[in-house]
Amino acid sequence: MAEVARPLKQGESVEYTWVWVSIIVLLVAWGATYTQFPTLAMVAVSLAVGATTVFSVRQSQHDSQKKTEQTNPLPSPSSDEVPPRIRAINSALRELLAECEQNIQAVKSTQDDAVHTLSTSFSALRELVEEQQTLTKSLMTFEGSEQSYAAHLKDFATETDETLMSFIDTTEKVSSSTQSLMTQVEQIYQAMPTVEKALSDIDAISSQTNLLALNAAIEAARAGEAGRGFAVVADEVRALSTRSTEFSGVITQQMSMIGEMITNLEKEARFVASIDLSQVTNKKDHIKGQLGLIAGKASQDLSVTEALSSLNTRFSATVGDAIRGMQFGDINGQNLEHTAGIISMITDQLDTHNISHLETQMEDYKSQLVAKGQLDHNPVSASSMDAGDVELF
Amino acid sequence: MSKHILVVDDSVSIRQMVETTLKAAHYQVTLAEDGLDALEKCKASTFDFVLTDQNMPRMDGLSLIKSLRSLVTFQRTPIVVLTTESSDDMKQRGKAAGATGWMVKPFSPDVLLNVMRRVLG
Repeated sequence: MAEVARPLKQGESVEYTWVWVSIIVLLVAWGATYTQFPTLAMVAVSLAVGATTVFSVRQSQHDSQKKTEQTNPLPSPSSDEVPPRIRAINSALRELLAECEQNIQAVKSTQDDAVHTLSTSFSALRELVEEQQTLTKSLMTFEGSEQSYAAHLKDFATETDETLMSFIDTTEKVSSSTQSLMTQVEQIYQAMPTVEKALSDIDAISSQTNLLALNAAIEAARAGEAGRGFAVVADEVRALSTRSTEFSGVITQQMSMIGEMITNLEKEARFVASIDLSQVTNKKDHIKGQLGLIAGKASQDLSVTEALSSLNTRFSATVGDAIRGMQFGDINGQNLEHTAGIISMITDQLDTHNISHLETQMEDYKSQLVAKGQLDHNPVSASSMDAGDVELF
Repeated sequence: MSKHILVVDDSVSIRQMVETTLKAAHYQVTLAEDGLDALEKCKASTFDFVLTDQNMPRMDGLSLIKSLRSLVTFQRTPIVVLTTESSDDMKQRGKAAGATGWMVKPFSPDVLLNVMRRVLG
């Protein structure tokens, strides 16, 4: 590069400036062609051709001047005649382009590596989130049921509250009924002595009947044959009296047992009636409050479940955006490869050293560019990471 | 039974991103690095859908489509091109080769899945 920067001699300087301008403009033309700016390319090529023509005219004038000065004809041009200055420029340009090509390859390699790492990470992240989603779902729902655990818990809390309240109400009613039952049992118990007295009276009557029958039988015996029939009647009356006494005994015994049972019943009823339901009544509000808390937590869990579901949807959308964005690796990679191809082609073209044929070569380059522009093209059209068009045939 | 999809792209990252997208939607996925690799896989087994890039080494997307359409088992298989190419000329060449559809990169996962559902029915 130091050689390139060396000042040129007067006269040589003007001519080689045109050559330099031609090369630069031609490079711009190449670049413009491949960046899809045909108008700029055509302007640049026109400038290059113009510069070449000026250079050729000046060269012709220079040659004519030399012919006038020297009568001997000039030797045919060869690569050896290329001025050292042009060769130096050519060489420096090739070095720069080679460096550009290496840099492009390095950028593409780094980019490919980075995109691959990112892509792998996002794929793994997506799988982890899906696994988390599955686990969360299994935690929140029962197997074989579409309803969530929280919804089940809420229903259970509501049903338990209703059942418990119903049970407490029933218990209070039973307690109240027991008081009434005890009163009635006491009434029955109070009626027992009346029954016992009636039985005692029956026994007394039976005993007197038995005594009367005995007296009747004695009197019948004294009457002799005439009282025989009366004696039979007296015996029957006595037998009835005995049976009546027996029945009375059985009834007395049963009444005694009933009396004992009523006593026990009264004792039990008194015990039930004496149970203090105030604790249950007091706990009623506390339990109702606790069940309300459970139902509230279940509702909150339901909201969390819905929020989790919404979060997963948003996460999927975010990963989708990331997947769309990360395709810059492929898109820019193709762009870089294409640009590297252009630089490689320019480097190959710079191998030409024969300056005497520059005009012809410029025309050739122009034709080649046109032909290449028609056959070859940049495969990338995207200028942003917005999703591309879709067309179904 | 999940549909079997063949994804053809020379870019490792694109293959990976398409695979992640399709597997999340419960598709079965097979990957191929270029047209030639895909053709060998298609001769070995059948697929319900082929998603292919256009610009690839050894064999490009359009050549792959032409080769697949000559196989009896792939004459009716949907083949969608997923590429950076967006010119009408290229799309017409794709249609002429037998492509079912044309998607321009970058693709959105949702759009890709919608296209697959529409094509697969």
